[in-house]
Amino acid sequence: MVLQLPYQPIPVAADVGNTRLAKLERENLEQQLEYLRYQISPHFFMNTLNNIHALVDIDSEKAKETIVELSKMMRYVLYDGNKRCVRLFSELEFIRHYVALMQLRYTDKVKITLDLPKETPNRQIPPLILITFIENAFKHGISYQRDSSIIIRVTIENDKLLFTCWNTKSNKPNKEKGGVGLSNVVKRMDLLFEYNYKLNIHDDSDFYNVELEIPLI
Amino acid sequence: MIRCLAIDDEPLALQQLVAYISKVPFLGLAAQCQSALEARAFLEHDTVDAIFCDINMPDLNGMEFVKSLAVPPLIVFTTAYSEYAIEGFKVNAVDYLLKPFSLQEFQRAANRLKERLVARPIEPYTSTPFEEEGLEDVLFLKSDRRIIKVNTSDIRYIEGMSEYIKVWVDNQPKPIITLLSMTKVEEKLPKYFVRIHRSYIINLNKIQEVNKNGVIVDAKTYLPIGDMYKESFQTRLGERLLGN
Repeated sequence: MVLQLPYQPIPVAADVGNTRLAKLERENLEQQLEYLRYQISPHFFMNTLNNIHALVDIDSEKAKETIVELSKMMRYVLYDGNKRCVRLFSELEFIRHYVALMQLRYTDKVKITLDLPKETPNRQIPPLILITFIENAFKHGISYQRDSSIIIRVTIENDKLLFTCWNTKSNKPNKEKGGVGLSNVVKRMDLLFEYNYKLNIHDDSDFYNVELEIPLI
Repeated sequence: MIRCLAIDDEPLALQQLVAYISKVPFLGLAAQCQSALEARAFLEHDTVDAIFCDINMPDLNGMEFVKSLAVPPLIVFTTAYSEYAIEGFKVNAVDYLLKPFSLQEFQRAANRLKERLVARPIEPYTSTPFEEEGLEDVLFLKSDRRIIKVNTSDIRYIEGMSEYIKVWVDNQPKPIITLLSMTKVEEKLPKYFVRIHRSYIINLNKIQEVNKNGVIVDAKTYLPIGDMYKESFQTRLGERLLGN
């Protein structure tokens, strides 16, 4: 024990080191988060612009509405997408716009149900986590050979947000190198929530179901 | 008129495509399909000169669909995905329209289609040197380092296959394949041969039956008549056509 005395300055030095280390770790975390940041698919933009382009001739009122919807979505992704946390309300609005734009692109053969809480508590969450799952549901869930449906549901329970996203599966063998979006969002959640979240994915032959529980801030 | 098929899984995109087709006087819409599977079913009993095809679609993507066609018509891809462009030209697409595209860009693609499809006017039959020497009924075809003599009257029909032609001769199960264009072979054939399709020249003597969209050669062979060739074919038939 006595022998340790001469080393007493060390904890002080370690403290300084720790701060530096903490700073480095924080920077590293920021970097990783930046790298994992969700980016909306350019195809989504191009296809939506194409639909608006068609709407200008067919239904100009609807075209205007859709431009407003797309602008709100873009504003959110561009300005709020890199924030650590956003208002829950903004995130849910974003999902609403995204689904509306996707609904425009597909026929009635794709049944989309979006069930969001009637009243949104004044809480915060990290932005653009849920969208990855929703995007995947559209990517893999649509077939014209049979009825396709996508059911998205968000509920709030105490300090938690419960999210489910269920979709029928298309028969198309999935050749695309998928899973990057999914693995990125999982890594992001690991960093953001320090593993304090629940994710269950049920990949059946006919349907795909995601259940996610994340803490509200 | 160039007969077109429009394929897109998104209703608004399809509607736009159909509207564009209607704005180009020399394009005619044969059908519009919301999926490649629907288009495939349509092509089982009908033919078109050109297809405007989206690429990324559920169930069967446009690129796979085109690759699966035995005798693909001319293809124009319409897509939001620029990364498909190179693959598109590998399947010999006439053009590649990136969504959203303007009417001008569409018009450019339509013009390219027209250039590729230009129907050769039926030229008055002129004698060839061979005819003068009494050899008009014979062709010598280079095939696989051999030179094969064929009596033209034995040729049932000729099928175009990009830069090659397949010459189907009576009583031979396999065609003679020669590196030659449809246009070049057409010049050397006697006048009882008629072009009925971008990919087919038929010997009028070998026809069993003609219906609205095609020609029956035998129980196993039904050849489509392309829209561009309908009129000239009718004229040729007209010379020998009886009955009301």
